[in-house]
Amino acid sequence: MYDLIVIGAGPGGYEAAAYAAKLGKKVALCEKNELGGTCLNVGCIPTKTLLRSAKAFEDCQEAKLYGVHGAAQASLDLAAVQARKKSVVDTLIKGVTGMLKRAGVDVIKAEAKLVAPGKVSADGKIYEAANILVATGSVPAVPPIPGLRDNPQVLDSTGILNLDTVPESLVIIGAGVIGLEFASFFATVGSKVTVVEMLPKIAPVVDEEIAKGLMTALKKLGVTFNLSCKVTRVEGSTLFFTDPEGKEQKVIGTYILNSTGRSPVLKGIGLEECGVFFDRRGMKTDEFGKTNVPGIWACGDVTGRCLLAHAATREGIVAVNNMFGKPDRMRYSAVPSVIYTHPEVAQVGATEAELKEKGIAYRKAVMPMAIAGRFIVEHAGKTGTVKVLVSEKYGQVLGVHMIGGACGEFIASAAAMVELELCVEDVRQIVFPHPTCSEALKETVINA
Amino acid sequence: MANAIVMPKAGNSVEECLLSKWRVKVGDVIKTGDIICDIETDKSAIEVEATADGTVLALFWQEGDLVPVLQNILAVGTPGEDVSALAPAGGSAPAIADAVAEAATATTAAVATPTEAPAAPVAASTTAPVANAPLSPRARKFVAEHPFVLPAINGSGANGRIMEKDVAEAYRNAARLSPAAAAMRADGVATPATGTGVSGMIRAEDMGKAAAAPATPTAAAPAPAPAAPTAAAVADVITEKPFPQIRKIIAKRLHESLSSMAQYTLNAEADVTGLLALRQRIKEQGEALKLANINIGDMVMFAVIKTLQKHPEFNAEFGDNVLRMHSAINIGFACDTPRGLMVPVLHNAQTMSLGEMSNTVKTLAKQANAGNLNPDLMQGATFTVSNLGALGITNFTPVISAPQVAILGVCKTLLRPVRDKNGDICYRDFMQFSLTMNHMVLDGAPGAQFLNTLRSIIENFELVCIAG
Repeated sequence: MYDLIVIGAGPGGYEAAAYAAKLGKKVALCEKNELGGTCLNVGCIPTKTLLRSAKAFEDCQEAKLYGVHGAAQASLDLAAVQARKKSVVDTLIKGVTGMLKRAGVDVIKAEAKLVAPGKVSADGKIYEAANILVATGSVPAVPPIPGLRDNPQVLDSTGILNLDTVPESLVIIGAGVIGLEFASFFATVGSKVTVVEMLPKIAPVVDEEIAKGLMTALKKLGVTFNLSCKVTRVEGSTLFFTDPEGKEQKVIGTYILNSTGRSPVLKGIGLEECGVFFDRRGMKTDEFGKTNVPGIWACGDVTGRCLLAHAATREGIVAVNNMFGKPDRMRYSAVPSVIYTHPEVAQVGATEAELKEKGIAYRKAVMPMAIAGRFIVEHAGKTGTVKVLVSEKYGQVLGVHMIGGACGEFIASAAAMVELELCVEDVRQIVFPHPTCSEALKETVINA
Repeated sequence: MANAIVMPKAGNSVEECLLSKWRVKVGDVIKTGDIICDIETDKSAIEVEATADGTVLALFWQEGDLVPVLQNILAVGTPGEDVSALAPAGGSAPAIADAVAEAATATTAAVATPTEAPAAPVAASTTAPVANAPLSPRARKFVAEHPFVLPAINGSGANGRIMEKDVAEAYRNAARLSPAAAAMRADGVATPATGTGVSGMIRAEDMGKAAAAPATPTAAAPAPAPAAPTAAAVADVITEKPFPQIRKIIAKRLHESLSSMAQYTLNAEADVTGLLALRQRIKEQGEALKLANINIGDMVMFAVIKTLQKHPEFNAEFGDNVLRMHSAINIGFACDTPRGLMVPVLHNAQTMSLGEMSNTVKTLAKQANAGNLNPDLMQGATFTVSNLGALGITNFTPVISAPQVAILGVCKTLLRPVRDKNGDICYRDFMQFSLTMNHMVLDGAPGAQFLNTLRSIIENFELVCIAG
């Protein structure tokens, strides 16, 4: 009899399992694949490894701006990049494995299924637990576009991570976070990248001003955008779409990347048998991580609430706290998100569009990142923007949106401002280190 | 020249009094004898009368302050006079500053002291959670400087006074306000006790809500129950009534009493037919004989005094495994007053004649009701009597006032059929008694003997009086 069985060892599941074990609970963690889930194996970590190599390549090409000559002839060996990626992933999997072992979590390497509230079957055995946390994650979605399925020229975000050579050209369906990161990577390393997006804008979750800045930066890299275009079919490596005028257009790529989103893993895990509520967007949970069935909890992508690794981790911790009687609740208002393109986009809190929609009176400040001396030092010839939204009446920091350099590294301080509801005058009292790019954040807040 | 009115010394043992309510404000014109404020000691609530005439120029203390006796509490004089010289050293500074400034401008407008709750009732109920608890000036300063909601806490200072370290500890444990929420609170937006932010921090979103949703659902409780029928169509309205200081003390004492003793109650009755007849004769002829208006309660009290003289172990205090029996019989008698339960004490009752005793009881009861009983006269009881007979109670479980060892409940008189010596049925009046004792000290047999003695005295009351 376990206190907790976790199904799925992604960043939602394994962190929750380790945390519960550290609380002294008896915990089992079931995983049919490698530990680490999408994030570690085919998501955050491998893509960031690729993007790091692209950055190194880009640095070589821009080295002359910094007085370094002779680097422009550098070439990128994608096979070597992949080897490094594998090594990074392996190191991190070992880290997770060791961490779970030290925490005392029983890892069951098998596909697990709910058979009844309090009962999980895995590896031909029935395990009992007072609490079950479903953290089965998500998989790439495949929209019903003719020719998309079973087409060797069409890759999803998992498949494209295994390419050993840089494709001459790449067509990307979907200008969401995943599509844009791959666009940034492949455009940097030499592919001709074309993005086809149904909506009239890219990165729909990003504040519009910032998204426009990102599109400009990617266009500079050579990425072609076809917005308000609906993909109609795929034939081999040719993608057909309808342009905004309603005319059919086509674009050919060595590969076609389907990055139209992700679907929660809901089938075959026993949700129906146990009477757990879910719809196609995910399992239904409340702010405590509870489902409608007592003792069954869920966190991460499977809930469809917020498809981010760090959101999944927090949801898992919240669920564990609540199952063992410690008050905690999930808040989504201050979950930061980062797009690891070059330049990076980082944001936390409300976008300007959201504030307008909710009718919240606000003030805003938009400042170039170059007001921080370090930005000019580090990013010759580049631009960046910080946009801060504060409440009209109290000056409460409601949203921070940035593009430029590695701004994802300091969005955490903005997240703290939003989470703790700091006001402009509070931020004025906080000292930011000089010289860093983060000074642009403070400067923008105190000008809001 | 401006004069000061001081906190009266409400008894020899009283060092400081809680200023519970101001009845006047700056600018009011008062004359000697007007009630200016209500004060409370740990035993009584008292009205303070003005001892000078004029316009109120300054209030030196705030409601809830614990004021040392004989300190200036109010300045009275002619508008415009400087009263700063009258300000007491330990007064609550903000009130003085405001009051002095107000007096200097010679305006008659009311000045709100800083602790006075905002006018909006919704804000008042939430921003002044400790309206009745006395805070030290430093504690009050701490609260003003820290963004949190001070919950009801017990003070570690004298008489439960809340000190700075108490509020500092409460601050560490309490739900804090986010800066944005604090700004809203300053604007008078209602503040809930807990919030939904980091570690229960009260967020802007929580403001204006009466109370935050509980942060911890029970693990077994199902998630949002689909279409659960509403339990009641009629909305439940909860009206909160914060305990005044005196009620807090009563609550604490009674709880301590029951948790520290093995209390049990014996019930008995006594034939008071004769006593009632005697009372009737006193009523008819008392005036001619210059007898006091002695009532049945007085007679029973007199009988209790005589009983205690025969049972000294009941006229005692118990503590540290020692029973202290008193030669003086100091009887406390419970009075239900507008300010709550009060227990005046009849000191050295064994020395009093029935008439003297009756007069003293009436005087004390009247003072207790009026709220001007000297607190010294509520101390030192060695035994207590509580009479609920007039309210129709036939028996009950009185609670002993620690460290006493027993309390007698006097109950209603019931008409009972009895057989007389000829074997005929006749009706007699029987008064009911409920004697609660501390079984750690007094067993059932001595309790029964006490009640038998009491019955015998009551049933032979005239003989006992004659015997002296």
